Amino acid sequence: MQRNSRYYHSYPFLYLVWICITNTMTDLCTENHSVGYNTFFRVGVFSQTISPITMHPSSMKPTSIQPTKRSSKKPTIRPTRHPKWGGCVAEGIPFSIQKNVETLVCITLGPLGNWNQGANVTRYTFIPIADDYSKFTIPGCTYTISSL
Amino acid sequence: MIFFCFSSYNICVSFTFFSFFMVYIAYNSLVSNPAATKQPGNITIFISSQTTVSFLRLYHDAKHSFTYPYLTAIIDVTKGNITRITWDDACIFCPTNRCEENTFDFAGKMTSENKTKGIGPTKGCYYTRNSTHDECKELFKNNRTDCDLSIYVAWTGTDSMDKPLFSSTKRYSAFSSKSVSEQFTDSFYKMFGSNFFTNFLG
Repeated sequence: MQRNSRYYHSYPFLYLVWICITNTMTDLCTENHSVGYNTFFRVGVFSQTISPITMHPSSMKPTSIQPTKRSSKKPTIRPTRHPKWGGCVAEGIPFSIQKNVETLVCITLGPLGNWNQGANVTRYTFIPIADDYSKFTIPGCTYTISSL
Repeated sequence: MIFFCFSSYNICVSFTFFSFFMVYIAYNSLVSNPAATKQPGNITIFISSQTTVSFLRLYHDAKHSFTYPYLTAIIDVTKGNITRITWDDACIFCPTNRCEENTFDFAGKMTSENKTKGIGPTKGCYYTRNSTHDECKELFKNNRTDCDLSIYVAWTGTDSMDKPLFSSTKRYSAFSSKSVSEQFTDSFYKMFGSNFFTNFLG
């Protein structure tokens, strides 16, 4: 180990490509190496039950409400218990992605099954800088990772 | 910062990456204490941004007691508008015998690259447990957070100002363990000669 350490400190490039050579690799692999993070996020967490929806990745479009002509018939009101899924958008956050500007990303946890029948979900929303390196930790986690 | 460990060489290499978004959600709070998140049993996850959603990835398979903690989402952007969100290959984190399909559609059906065009990689690697051994709890006891849900988000394409987004080029799979290993070996051969590993590592 002593001999290896001498090699390690001899070459500055190893600060970028950090190499540890040891007979007990596991010890070094689990060492803590902190990484600096400069980006902070606002975060929102909520649970909800979403109404029956049809989700097709890459084909989701904003919902538009078309005006309907008045009818003499008595309108049929279908009560909806749950809010419709309206995408991952928020006021004050630019809809369009712009590099180095805040954007909105949502992570949704839910069950495995047919979501068209409704699903209990937990959604985490956060605002990273688009195309930037950043870290996010869910509040209340047992562990927070300061290194990887 | 990440570490690649090559057991055959007894070597760990760390690379500093940029342009990653990471989220950690504790395994204990999701799997061991599902009531906290109101998600008992199977847990799936999807990423959304603007009005685009990804497919579902299974994080915890209650039936088989598999936990798939590694996820990388790639947000494909064209002039600021998201065209799709795909999942990246998560099997670079484990040996092939721990790599399984774990991507589903919103009808609950498993899907794959063969079934759905343009879906992207659909496999992930898992930790497991049985009646006598729980890999995640073992890691947890050793202060390892491997089973915590870790999500990386990278962007690709062009933003609203037509500037290219580069972060997806720095995702993990862009540095597959094989290519990293080869680059690593090549660079050392150049610097120390072909006898480096023989002499240095014995």
